[in-house]
Amino acid sequence: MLLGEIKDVVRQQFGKIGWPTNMIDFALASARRDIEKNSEGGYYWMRATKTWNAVATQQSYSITTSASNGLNLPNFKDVRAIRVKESTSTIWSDVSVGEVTLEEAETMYSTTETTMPALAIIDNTTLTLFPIPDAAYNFKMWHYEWTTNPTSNTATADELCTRFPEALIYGALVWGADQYNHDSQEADRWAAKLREQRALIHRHSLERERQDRITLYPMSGPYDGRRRTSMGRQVWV
Amino acid sequence: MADEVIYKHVNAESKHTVDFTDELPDDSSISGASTVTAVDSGDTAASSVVGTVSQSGMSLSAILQAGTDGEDYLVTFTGRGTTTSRDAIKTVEMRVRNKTGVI
Repeated sequence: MLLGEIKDVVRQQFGKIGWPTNMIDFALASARRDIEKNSEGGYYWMRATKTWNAVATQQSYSITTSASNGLNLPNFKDVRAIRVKESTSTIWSDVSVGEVTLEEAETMYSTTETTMPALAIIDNTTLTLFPIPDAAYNFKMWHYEWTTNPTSNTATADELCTRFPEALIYGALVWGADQYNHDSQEADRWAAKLREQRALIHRHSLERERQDRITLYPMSGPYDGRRRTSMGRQVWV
Repeated sequence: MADEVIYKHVNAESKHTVDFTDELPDDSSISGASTVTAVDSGDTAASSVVGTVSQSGMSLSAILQAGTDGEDYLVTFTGRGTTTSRDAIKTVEMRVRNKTGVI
């Protein structure tokens, strides 16, 4: 369905002119957030990639802004994987992420150690690399981003609108019944319908995740001598 | 929110009139600087849905026309008082639907 059609269905529940359009926009935005908040990590339509170059001697980068060579991903939700390579190389190497915390990482590396990073820490909205990069390495990150409803009624390229419009409709009706009409009983009724849709989305996304799973094999061995990190201990290669 | 909501068929043309008597009590007419503009649901200017604009006394009229099926247009009527040069604004949400029924 198009966003405009979804709006019309929601309007129909409250009378075609009974509910202002800006309130419906709020309700549909709330519905999308509600759906995406309940994903574990993210759903398939939230997948995205980002490539960027590290800056020699710069250890930390803003994820959500472009300040100081930041990644400028204001809708960043969660990371899936990070890879790194030298700018002249054609082979990506694995960067460990999500396995240790910043405070743990700081005890594992000296404050002056520079080489190709092997560990990335996402702490709030900052990405910190260990060791500190000594050159402009190429980075690639696979991640999930929060998405927003199309701005236009007639936009056609939104997966949630196209495949799971009922979820948006029920989510908007939950918001509308609860926040606008103050009818908690009606809100509960739509919430139950929304849960059914969430289960369908979750199941479909898991199937997609399994089928589309990308297995990346980091280059390692005698030609790529560098330190790697595993949970809880340092491994020297 | 819009002051008024109207539904129209893509091929329909209708004259819509807004009266600014209550909003501009110190004026007896609105000037030629009064305007009617429109944006679509993506907030993009949609001048093609506004036809001929005219003023008479405190009333501002525009022919509302065409549009894209499924779109919601926010039409903004801005009346400028001839004496006070104050602007008053009223908005009309025009929903273009070819298959809609009665409200």
